[in-house]
Amino acid sequence: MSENLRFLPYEAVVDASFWYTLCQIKLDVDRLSEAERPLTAATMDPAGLTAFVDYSSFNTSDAKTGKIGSSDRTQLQKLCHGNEHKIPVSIMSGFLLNFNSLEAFKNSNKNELLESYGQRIRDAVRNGDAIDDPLKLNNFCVITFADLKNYNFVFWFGFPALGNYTFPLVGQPVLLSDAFSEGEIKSLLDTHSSLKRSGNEFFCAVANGSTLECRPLRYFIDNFEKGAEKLYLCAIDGSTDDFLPGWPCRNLLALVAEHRKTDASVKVIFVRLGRHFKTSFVAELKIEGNRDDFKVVGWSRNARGMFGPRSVSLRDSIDPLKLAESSVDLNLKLMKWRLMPSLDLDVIRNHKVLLVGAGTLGCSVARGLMGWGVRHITFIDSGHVSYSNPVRQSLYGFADCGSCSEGPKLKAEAAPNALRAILPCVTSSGVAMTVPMPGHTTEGVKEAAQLHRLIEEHDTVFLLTDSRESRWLPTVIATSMNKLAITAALGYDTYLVIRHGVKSNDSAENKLGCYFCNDVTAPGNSKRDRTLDQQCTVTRPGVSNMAAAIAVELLVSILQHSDRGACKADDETLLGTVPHSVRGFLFQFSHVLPSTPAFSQCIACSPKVIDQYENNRDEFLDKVFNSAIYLEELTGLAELHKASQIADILELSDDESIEEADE
Amino acid sequence: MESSPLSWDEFLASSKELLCISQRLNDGWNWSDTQDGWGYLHKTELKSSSGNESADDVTAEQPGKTILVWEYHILYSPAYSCPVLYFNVRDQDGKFIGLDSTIGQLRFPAKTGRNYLSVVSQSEHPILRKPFCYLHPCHTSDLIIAAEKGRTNLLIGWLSCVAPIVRLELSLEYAKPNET
Repeated sequence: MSENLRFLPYEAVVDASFWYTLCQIKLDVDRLSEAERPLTAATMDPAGLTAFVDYSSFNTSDAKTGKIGSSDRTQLQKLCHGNEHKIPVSIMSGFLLNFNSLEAFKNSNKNELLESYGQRIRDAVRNGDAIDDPLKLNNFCVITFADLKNYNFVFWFGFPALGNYTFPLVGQPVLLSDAFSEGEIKSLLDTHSSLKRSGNEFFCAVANGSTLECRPLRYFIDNFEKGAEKLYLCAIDGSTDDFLPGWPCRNLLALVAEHRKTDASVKVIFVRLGRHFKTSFVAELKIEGNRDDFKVVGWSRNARGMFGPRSVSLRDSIDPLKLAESSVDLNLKLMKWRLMPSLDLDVIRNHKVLLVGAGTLGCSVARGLMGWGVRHITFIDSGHVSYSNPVRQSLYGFADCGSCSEGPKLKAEAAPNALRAILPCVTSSGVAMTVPMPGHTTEGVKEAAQLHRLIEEHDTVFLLTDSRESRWLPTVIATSMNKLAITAALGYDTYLVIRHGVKSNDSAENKLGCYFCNDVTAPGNSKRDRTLDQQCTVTRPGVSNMAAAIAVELLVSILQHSDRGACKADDETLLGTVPHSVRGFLFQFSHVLPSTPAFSQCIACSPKVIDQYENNRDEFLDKVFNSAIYLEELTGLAELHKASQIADILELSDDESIEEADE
Repeated sequence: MESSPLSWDEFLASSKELLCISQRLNDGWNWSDTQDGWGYLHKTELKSSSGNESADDVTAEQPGKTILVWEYHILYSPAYSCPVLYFNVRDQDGKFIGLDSTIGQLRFPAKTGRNYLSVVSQSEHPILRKPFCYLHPCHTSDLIIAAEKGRTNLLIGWLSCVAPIVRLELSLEYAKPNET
């Protein structure tokens, strides 16, 4: 038994624009219809035996023909020249069947399907149509299922070939350049332009001693048995593999098999284009098989080399939600790529942030965090959106303030909704609760437990409320868990942003102070350094944005430091210095960056307080909520406070703007 | 406006010339108009990812030989007053192969060193609004200003400089004076 000629199967190549267009057509035109759609694929690409489909494949209204012979530049003698074959020069028609469900896709009878398209080829072969119109010898089908929610596409290409024949080789195939003289090859290529364009991919050549002359395919079929030794069947072959012709040639040989009247061997010239021209070859073969059998083969193999469908997910390039997410990341990556290669964006992205307070500061901090790619933001706020809020609180609009029929929205609901409206992939929720405050209520133990749980679930807590007291419990809890807390507090035209100290692994290191240590022991940098929160609701509008922006940038700088929250004051990272606190003065448009160590008698972060919170929680909190004085007694601050009040008065007495401070 | 490297009108005229040559050469450049009066040049090419383009002697069933779809878009950037090359490399199924793999496919000049990202990065395609890779236009205007205005097609001159990076073949015919 001699070896059979084998054929290289098509590789289907799908451009992303094919899938975009399929989505559009499914949604706007086809909807539930599963009707067959005509398609075209570009073939004879310089890259090899591919069938390429893109958005233009759906447009079959303009009759498309191959490009071979369409202009001087695309005559065969040109295309076979070195670098002249640059684009796909042939077109194949095909059919798309898009199923509504994956089940329907799976359950469809693949054999019957391929046979039905094979039958069209067989008809054209049998009735002889394909002799004058060899384009009818090949088509393709593609079955798809488009999951439009997830932008997943399952698809399977079939290139039907009549499989009832085999083609044993007679002798070894030889290169065209070995089989014929230069003159013969030249005449073959030159006379090709005399062929009708619709049939110029499959044709025949007559050998006249010194020349090879092109004739239409019909000539071969009609004269095959008369002078077989001088006739060559010719195919322009998109395959680029040595002595392995492309898939479409299989149906060409089936056409010959159908119409032959002898079983003489057939000589075939496979002409290749461009830089592959030198691999053009000549093969002589027999045809075996029964013309009345009907067998169609041609489903393509998937990525694993098995006969089966392929699938692709294009969420990243189609899904608007994914696009929004990746575009935000892209913006940040540009900073990394172009300015700071070692910027750690993942640590920011994976950071979970709890915002206590969803007012002017909370809104601005949330937006700043989103800008840096933080994806997990939780709000705590007990308030509703009031009519005065939207102009300063950037996450709310007039509609959130309610109407006659509907009450105002809770900030704890409106703020996360706003974040999701800005970036759908953000994980944001809100908890409507009042932070228990020293001396304010007797029923704070339950809320304290909830706050404890919330802080536990997050990596950093921002203290953004408008009263000094409401920052106390979160400070205690964060200190107890050794988690980072950042406070932003506003004055009329001043602001304070401070990161609460976090214990480092090196326990000998004295940690930095918290908002409360610092407040009491504030150094007298300026008269404006005194307690800022007492006047906080009357502020210049820009102040909250500035403080919020600085708070966010401070967190990001801390996250770039290897010690995170435990880093020393004014340590450097790739983003620059990491101050302990930033005090801003809008009056002079200036900042100072004071740092202070933890205060051993602090009412929020001193060991005595933390010890009580950790070991005697319920009783301790109960006492504190009933009377703030208890804390001062516990820490021995009462004495100190008196002294500091005297100091305050002394300092203020030589200042002219006492009234302002009372506001 | 004389300091502008390339005006929109010049871009249009140069593009027209490029298209004219492309049509003659049959190498696949196309023009798409946008609804708001802009437009861009584009071209799609299939390449085998082995990158070994002279490997004609390989055996029939070459393992790991995959086809990649390269899409090239030349847009006009009003901000930089110059053309910008956007491109994407996708696999056989239409999926973007990722920025890292894309960079692996590019051919950088030796002096770029490992600092690839100063040359190429990802951005939103200004017209299609899809993520695309692009070559930074920062140095394009220098390149264009350096070329003598009027004598040559500046668009083609620029393209011939950047094309090798993105493995875009540009026939020498583009450098010939216009035959019409």
